[in-house]
Amino acid sequence: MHVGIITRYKQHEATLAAIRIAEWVLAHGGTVSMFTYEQPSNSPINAYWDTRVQHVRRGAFPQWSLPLTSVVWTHEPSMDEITWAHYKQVPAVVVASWDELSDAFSEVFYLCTAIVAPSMLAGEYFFAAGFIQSLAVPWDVGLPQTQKPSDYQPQERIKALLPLHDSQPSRIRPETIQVLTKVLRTCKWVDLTLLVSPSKLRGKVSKQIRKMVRALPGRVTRITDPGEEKRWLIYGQHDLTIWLSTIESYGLPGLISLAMGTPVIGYGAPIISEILAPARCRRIPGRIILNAKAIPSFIPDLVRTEESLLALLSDREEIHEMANNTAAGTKRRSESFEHIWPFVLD
Amino acid sequence: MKDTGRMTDLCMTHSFVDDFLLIDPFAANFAFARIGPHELAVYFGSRSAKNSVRTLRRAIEADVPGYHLGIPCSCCNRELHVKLKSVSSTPESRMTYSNVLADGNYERFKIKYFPVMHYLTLVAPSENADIQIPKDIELGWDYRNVLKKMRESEKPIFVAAGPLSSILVYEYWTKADDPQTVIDVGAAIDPFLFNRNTKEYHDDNYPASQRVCEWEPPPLQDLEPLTYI
Repeated sequence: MHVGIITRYKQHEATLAAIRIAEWVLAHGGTVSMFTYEQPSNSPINAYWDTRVQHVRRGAFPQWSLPLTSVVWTHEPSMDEITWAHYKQVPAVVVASWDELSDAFSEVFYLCTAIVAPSMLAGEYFFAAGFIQSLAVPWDVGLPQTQKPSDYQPQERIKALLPLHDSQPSRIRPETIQVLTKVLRTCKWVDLTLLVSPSKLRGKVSKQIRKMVRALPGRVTRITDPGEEKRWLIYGQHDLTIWLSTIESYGLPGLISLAMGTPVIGYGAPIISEILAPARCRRIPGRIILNAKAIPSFIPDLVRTEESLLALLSDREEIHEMANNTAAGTKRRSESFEHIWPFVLD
Repeated sequence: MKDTGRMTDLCMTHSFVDDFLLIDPFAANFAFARIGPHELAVYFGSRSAKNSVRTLRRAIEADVPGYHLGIPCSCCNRELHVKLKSVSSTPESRMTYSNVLADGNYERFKIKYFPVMHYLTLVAPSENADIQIPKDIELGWDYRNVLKKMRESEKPIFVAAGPLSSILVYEYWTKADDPQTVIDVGAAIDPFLFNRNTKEYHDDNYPASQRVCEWEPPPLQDLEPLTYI
């Protein structure tokens, strides 16, 4: 098995998904080549793959693609690429991010051998859209399950983490940062850490973040995302992750946080609510509406956001109780990941 | 010595509209403080021993004649409703909705009070207020001067001082010798002070302006529990 993975090698959840698939193939005795059409990012993503990813010209398929037994895209491929794979009879697998689909995605997906949806709801969506070759593989980050020590208690000051790495800033509504600022002005016993990919933080979210830092002097720490293991450790060092994303494909911040034993409060948005099980997480309600492609999107309820954050941040016992249950459901998720991928790639 | 003879305990009916009519500063002498999620978060979450936090605790727990509490109703936030009823010594007959002057009652509030604001003393972060406070004040701000000016007032007092409102109402009510009626009106007074809408319920195009809350909604026994994927 020689799998070719084509990804946009930059700070993006899809790249981390590509690395996860590559590591899974290597662990199961296969070989992997990873390709990117764009110049790889200068920021460290993965020490192993940073040096091995091959930068190829867009649309130049034949030479490098000849030895591949299957090709996996972690984004929507172009019509030319998928037609070529179809013509050469190379199994073409797309790991589909449903929040980044083009208007012509159905023509492209029609020619795919398999469509892997990284959540149950996205799987149902693709299946309902008529792609019978779609498979729901609830994403697994492949981390060993870590738990807080048995004598763990949230300290006098609660340490909360707001993930703003990779494409998170584009998934967060600026007004929710405003609400978080208001909440933290009341909750003076909470310190916030921002885990940031500097190149991704721009626009209105960046403005709101600057306002928050000014409004909470000395209580907000900004950490530049160090990438992989160090990033995971940062998640593990906090009492609570405040995940304000309203749309997700893989749900990596939530999954990493839970794998590192840190409970999460986030929105009950599609896909996110699959990760945030009630015992270990808190879901903030909102409204779900369908866009033109019938993909559900989430409108947060700001009043309930404020109330939910205030209620949880004032309840150390609740945070402690949630931290004891972060491992629930992880085994089943990792097993389904392990069982479905051989079926997809063989 | 404090004169408690004039103080009135309003017997709240827990009807959204009737309670609004009962809270009338020109008809009775009482205090009305609203406790919301922010106050409750400080109550449960803060381990600070600062005076402001201690006073807020007293404002929530107190059982003082004529002192009324507005708490979130169970239809809007059941968890807070139950928590507040359990921690406060104020009897339920002196508790009502924290949004009793807002949402579906805002139109009534506007019609009843905006034309007679000159008969009231306003404490707010605005140039139009009688007693001005700075904008964006936080719990812990030194309010002694404000309290002193409130004591000098000979008119009923409307307070819109953000996180300090409930503390100001409580401190004024318990420390003034002959207190006037004092009501925490919150953002209901914003359109009068700032000439613009600051909340959804200020605009009657939004559903919030029609919201009528229920103190104890009937149990939802017939509904199936929610199942998640």
